[in-house]
Amino acid sequence: MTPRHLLGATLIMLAVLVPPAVAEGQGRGRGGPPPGSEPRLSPRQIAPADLTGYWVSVVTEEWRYRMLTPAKGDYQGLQLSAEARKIADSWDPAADEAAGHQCKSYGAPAIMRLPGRIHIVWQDDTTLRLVADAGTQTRLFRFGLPQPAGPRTWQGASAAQWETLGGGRGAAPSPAPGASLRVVTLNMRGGYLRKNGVPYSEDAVLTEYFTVAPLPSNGQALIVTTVLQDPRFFPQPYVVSSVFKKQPDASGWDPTPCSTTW
Amino acid sequence: MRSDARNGVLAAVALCLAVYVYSGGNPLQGVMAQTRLQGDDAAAAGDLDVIQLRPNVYMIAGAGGNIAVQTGQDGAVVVDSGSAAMGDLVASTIRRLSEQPIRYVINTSAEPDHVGGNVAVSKAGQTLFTLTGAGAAGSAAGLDGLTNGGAAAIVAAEGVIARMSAPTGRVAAFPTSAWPTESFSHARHTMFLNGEGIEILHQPAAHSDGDSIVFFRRSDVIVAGDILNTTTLPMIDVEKGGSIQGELDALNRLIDMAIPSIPIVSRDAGTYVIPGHGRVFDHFDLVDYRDMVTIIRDRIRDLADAGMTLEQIQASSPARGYMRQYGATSGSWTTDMFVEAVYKTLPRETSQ
Amino acid sequence: MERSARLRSGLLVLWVFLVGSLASAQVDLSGSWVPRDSRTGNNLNAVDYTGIPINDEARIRALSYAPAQISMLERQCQGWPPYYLAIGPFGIKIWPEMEMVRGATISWTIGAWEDRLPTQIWMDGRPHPSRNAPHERGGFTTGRWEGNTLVAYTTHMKAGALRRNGTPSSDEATMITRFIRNGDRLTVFAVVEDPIYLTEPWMLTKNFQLDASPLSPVGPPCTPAFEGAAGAGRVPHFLPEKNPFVGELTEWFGVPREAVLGGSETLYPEYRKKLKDQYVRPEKCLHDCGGPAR
Repeated sequence: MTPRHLLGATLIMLAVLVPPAVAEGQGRGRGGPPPGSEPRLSPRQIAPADLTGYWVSVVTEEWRYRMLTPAKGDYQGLQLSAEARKIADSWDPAADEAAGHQCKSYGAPAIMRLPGRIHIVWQDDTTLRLVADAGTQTRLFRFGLPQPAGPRTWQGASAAQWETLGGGRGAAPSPAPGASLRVVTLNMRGGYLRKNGVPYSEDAVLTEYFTVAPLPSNGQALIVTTVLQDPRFFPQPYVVSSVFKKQPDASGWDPTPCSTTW
Repeated sequence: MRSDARNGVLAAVALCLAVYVYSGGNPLQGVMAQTRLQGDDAAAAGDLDVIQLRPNVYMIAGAGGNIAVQTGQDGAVVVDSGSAAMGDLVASTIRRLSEQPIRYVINTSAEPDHVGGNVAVSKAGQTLFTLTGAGAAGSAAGLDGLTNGGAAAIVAAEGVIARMSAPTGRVAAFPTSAWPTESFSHARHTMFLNGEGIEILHQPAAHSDGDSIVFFRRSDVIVAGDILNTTTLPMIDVEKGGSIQGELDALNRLIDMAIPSIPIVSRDAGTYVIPGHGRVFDHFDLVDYRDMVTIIRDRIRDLADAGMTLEQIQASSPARGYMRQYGATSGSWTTDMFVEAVYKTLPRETSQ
Repeated sequence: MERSARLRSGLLVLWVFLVGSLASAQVDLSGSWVPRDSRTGNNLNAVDYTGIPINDEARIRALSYAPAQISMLERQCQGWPPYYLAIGPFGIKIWPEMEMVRGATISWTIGAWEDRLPTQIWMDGRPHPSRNAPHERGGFTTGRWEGNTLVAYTTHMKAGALRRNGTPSSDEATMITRFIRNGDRLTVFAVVEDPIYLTEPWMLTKNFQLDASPLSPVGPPCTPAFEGAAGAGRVPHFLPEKNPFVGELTEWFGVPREAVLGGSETLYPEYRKKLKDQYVRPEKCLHDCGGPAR
């Protein structure tokens, strides 16, 4: 084989295998292209997984805490501070209703745990929009932009990035196929982690990992791992994973208003 | 030059494919699609499923009833021989496992799918009996008769030869060359071959009146015959002396004989139990199976004690919870047949 | 060096570099992973099949289960099937077995607990055993990488219980487990299928965090001892319609009886419409409330 043919074979291999890695490097701003050269790839373009579509929650764990509103004072299994327990023990849904706080248990740390459907779309190349039919809540996951200042909301402000972990020998880290979406949410109003008044504070930091996984019989699952750091109410971070199954369409989509009791 | 260019392209394509597969992108759909079971390939090729349980003990499945083979310098000891149609294949399979000839075929019962291969398997073997010295020639004819023409011996409890043969004037169920050449009527028959003791334990009134359990002591493998069928509810042949209490006694005996891996529970070890049909069991599997039979028996007894008829009991589905895995509504052994066998052979005392 | 020879050498180095960098989309799972999961309760009630897609057969078997069974001498050391990894309360130690010529990983091992055997995930492409082979307590597991996720497929499990209240699993159950690492957090996502007792796959999750303190790879020894359970030949169980605990979850927490008995329908949001008419929220918590004694 002549060097010319060896070179040709090498170029074939490079053309097939390398573009995703190079594109990721550009998309992450690594060593950015010189002015006037090819544009950087967007988070949407380099997405290692497809989170878009309709997803339905599958409640196989903590069933009676999620499908029902538990009794006041029922926070079995949760490590709460004394202040948090006091708040939970004095939960008053009627007072919440009167104060216009019907959506207090539909905030970002809790919404993924409520039974319902979610619809995820790309609002633009750098923003994923998640709409939940439970409480008709909307969350925006923004890639790479500074978080807008403003009043605290139930859903807060979310910054997203594709997870990277390690890389090959000498290669820069890049999202591997199937990598998770990491979302960090701040600027939230204090709300309820559970519908029966178990609280989280406005100082909470919410980190979530959204991972898509195939299921048997050609299905897909979305696993949302929630890590809530709130030292004021939780001595240890609150960590759970919630599972959704992909649907082919919007069947069962059922927008329902927030409720303080159900 | 053209050939070099083609080779370069082929090399690049091959390397791309290798990198793709190695890095986890697999052309097949998912982990499960890649998974194949050993034995599937054998079955597809028309071979029997051979499972090695110990360095010198194997189970052969797919020839009717399960077959056990112990190998060694003394020759192979075979427990059951499968069906008649599979006899030659069984014999050739055993020849691949054992350098030495088959010396013994032990039958656990007289069921056709356990003794049907006796002729082929024993004839493929060689008796331990030989004749030397003066008078050898004159005794050859007698020895032939004793050893079925120099074939491997066939050993079974007396009930087996009674079932396989027939009273004078009737047609025997099996040819004489398939009958046991050594039968016993005592409770425990023993041998020592290939470095270990072998117990043949008569188990009365379980599946039938002629069942035996074979225990390879050093290998720690028990062959249970049709006392244990891991794919159905127990087959209790009432006409041949089987009973529910006998079956439970047999299962409890197997549980007492089998030892699990305790106290070190972080490793898989312990006694293996080869059933008459289905997969290999161990102590814990036996307990699950015995408990199932006990629970169904208790339900039937409770209903019988309440005065329900057999038909009413069958209609109430006392085997609910186990039907999907072990029940059957058609075939040679149905759930209703099992319920009837239990009903007919239940001891009628009311306490457990 | 001649120019063409230099070019050949350089291209060869490039090939080796590219293969090395592109073919290693995997993560290191080794270490001691402590449980960091805030899920509640592990469903401690004797009759509680909520959230499990069981069929009628499973329900009937579960209702016949008496908790005293675990005290039977023969069952005390039985342990749980491999899916207990995603149910039980303990941390896990994970380590690779590697061959020392090319450094390939032959298997990943997840260490044992006192009541769960090690899970060895074979990465070398070996086939699963025959259908007629023994089912070991640790099952048989093979694995492969999908990007940075280790995907493991387990067969040959023993029959067991999906919950300690006797909700059954059969020895025909299989499981796919995904080990998803994000930073120093590990999410285990397990999907259990059982053609005998489940109407659809049952999905479980559990979260861990990497810790410097080493966990033991083995559990303590187990020695059976008489605990007062029924004697030889007796199996503790409830006859049909005779389980005394059926109403407990309803009485304590107001959960409607139909929901207590589980099933696929109860897993999805639509089921809340049915529940709304049946559920009366207790005035306050009286059982298993959590927190200090009140």
